Amino acid sequence: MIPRGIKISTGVLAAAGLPALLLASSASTLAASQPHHQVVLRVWDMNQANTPIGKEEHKYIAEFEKAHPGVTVKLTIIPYADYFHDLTVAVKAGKAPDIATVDEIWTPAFAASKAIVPLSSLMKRYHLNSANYFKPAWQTTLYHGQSYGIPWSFDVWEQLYWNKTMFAKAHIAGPPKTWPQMLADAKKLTHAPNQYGIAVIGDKGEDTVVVMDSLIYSNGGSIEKNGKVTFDSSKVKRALTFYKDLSKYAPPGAASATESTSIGLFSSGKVAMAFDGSWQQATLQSQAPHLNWGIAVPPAPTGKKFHGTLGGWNLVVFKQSKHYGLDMQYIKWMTKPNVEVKVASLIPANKKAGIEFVKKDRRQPSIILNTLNNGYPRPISPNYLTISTIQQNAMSEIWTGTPVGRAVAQAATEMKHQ
Amino acid sequence: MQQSVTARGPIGARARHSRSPAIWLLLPTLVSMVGLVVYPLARGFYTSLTTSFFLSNQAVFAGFKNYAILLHNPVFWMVVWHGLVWTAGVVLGQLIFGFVGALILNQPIWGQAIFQSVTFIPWIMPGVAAGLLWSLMYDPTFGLVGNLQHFWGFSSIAYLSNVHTSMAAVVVAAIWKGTPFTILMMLAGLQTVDTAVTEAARIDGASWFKVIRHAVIPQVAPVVRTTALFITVWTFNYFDMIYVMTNGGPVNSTQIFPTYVYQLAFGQLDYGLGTAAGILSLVVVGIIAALFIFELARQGALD
Repeated sequence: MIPRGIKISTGVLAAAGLPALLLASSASTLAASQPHHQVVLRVWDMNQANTPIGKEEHKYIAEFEKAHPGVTVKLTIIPYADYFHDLTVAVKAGKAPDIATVDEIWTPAFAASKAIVPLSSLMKRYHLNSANYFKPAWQTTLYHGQSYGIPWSFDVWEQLYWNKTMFAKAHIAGPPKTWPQMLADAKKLTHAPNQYGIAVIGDKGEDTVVVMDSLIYSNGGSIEKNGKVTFDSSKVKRALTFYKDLSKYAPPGAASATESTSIGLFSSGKVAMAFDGSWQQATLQSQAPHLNWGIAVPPAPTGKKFHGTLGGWNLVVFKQSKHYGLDMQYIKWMTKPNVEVKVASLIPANKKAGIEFVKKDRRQPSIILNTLNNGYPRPISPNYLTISTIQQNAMSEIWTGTPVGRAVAQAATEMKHQ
Repeated sequence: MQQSVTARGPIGARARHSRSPAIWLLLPTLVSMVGLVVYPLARGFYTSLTTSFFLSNQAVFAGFKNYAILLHNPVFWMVVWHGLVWTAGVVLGQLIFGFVGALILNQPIWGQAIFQSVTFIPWIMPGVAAGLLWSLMYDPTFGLVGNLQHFWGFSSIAYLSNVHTSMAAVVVAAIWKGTPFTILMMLAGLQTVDTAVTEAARIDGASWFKVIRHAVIPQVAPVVRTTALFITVWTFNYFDMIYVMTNGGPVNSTQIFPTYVYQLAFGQLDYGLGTAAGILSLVVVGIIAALFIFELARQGALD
């Protein structure tokens, strides 16, 4: 076995910082070797799954460089799994890039640590208008009333994927619209161990938190409100009780089921329903071309409206950059609708580009646009990652038999101590 | 006399001259040791004495506050216990299966070289890949383990989702991954066994088990001890498989030091607390290693 733990446990920052320092120092060497008039713009982006982001990005970077003589863009693409770690280490080591794509849930932490700069005044100067972006995506850039990023791509984590063949066989007319209907349909569609009503996501990960949040938001609850923890409210308890009830009609193993487990179960015809984002449409089309599926706005409690949880990426400018103006020009270039539609890893956050993208690339675009416009962000807090960990632990507790009330009360207490 | 003075002169001068190149030859090693071991450790220890968050630009000296927080946290003690259970389970399993495997592969059987090569595949496989493989095997719907249970008429169990089975499940996976190394070491040991001793035991009427117990094991004991020490330290610090398979869950039931340190330092961005947990893990593994070496010395194995 590789004694990797030693590396982590001894001098965690010093060891982890080494690659970033080497990377950054080599970048400085490169910059130093440029002619005096040459400005190097260091941009970091991540690569999720198999999306070949870099190829398109390089094309538009070349055009940007051509339009801006004397500017060289050095794009570094880092695998998603390493990206957050590499960014935080680079910031701590004082070697952050000029611009980077940052997950919306990290933006408040970078803003609170003063690693990134507020962009509100720069946006005015460079004619970037917040009205051009989907409002929910825009909200994810705000921290203490200031915008710290330009939304680049986003999506909602939940649409309801439903298997039309299974529904027809069970004589159910269409996808459920309310929680009681969903429980009844899931029960009717369950013929264990060959077929289950729904796939739940419940592992110790962010994919579980987004489903929890969506159920909580749809029930009128919240994780925190105006800085006050509200995770122990009756609305939260009711939402998580519903999820626990729903898991009775899911394959065993909720506590370790990931997003990929869930979509795998759906694509293989083992479950009749699953929650997931629109990015999984491509997966289903390639892996299960004969599956007769559709999407729907997920159910909400009777009389209430569904609210999904947003996920996405913002472009931010790091404080250490020496040329904010040029950074903004680059961001403006890359967020032009015709560019964004090609380079964004999810749905472009620019309204024009986003609508065009959804209509062209997605099945049932009206459902997706509905969920996008009604999506809510996760708590905008610099301590979000800790909040998320507490939520994950609470869900694990619920799966393993702890009463919902006790699990959320304990989690709320932990959140209050942050 | 004159001769001896003359003789001592050049020798003494040579000794003085030879000392200085020796220092120069040692210098790269010393610098590497300081740079790669001493400095990160010292820096890590200092970080553990500060409240160092990603969110604050200044690391404020806080004495042993982080250690106090950890020692008063029940999750920390759970991590200590899990670390010991995980290490003991994996090491024992690897030693037993490694020894049995080595005995089998040491026999002059047909296709011995092929079997030996195939046996080492788990060991050369990256930990992340092995973790994914075992996660799939344990999948209650699609996995091999679940399907076998169905085949034998049992309902499938989600081993990685159950707090009572998750640790055993990851231990089994780690034994599978690490056993080839033990086999390799044991095979080397078995090949040094004096066959005259084993033959004599057989002629004296000793059973196969008694030959192994009284003639083979004493001869391979030094290899077993060294292997046990290595895999104890490696397993205690092993990260990849548990991180991929359970991420320390459910409900911290597979949380061990490396995953805990990672969660604190890079999940919650609390570098001070994460590093303190790392230093404590070093203390725990240091104690285990010291006990091990002490026991070896007591048995005279280090003479």
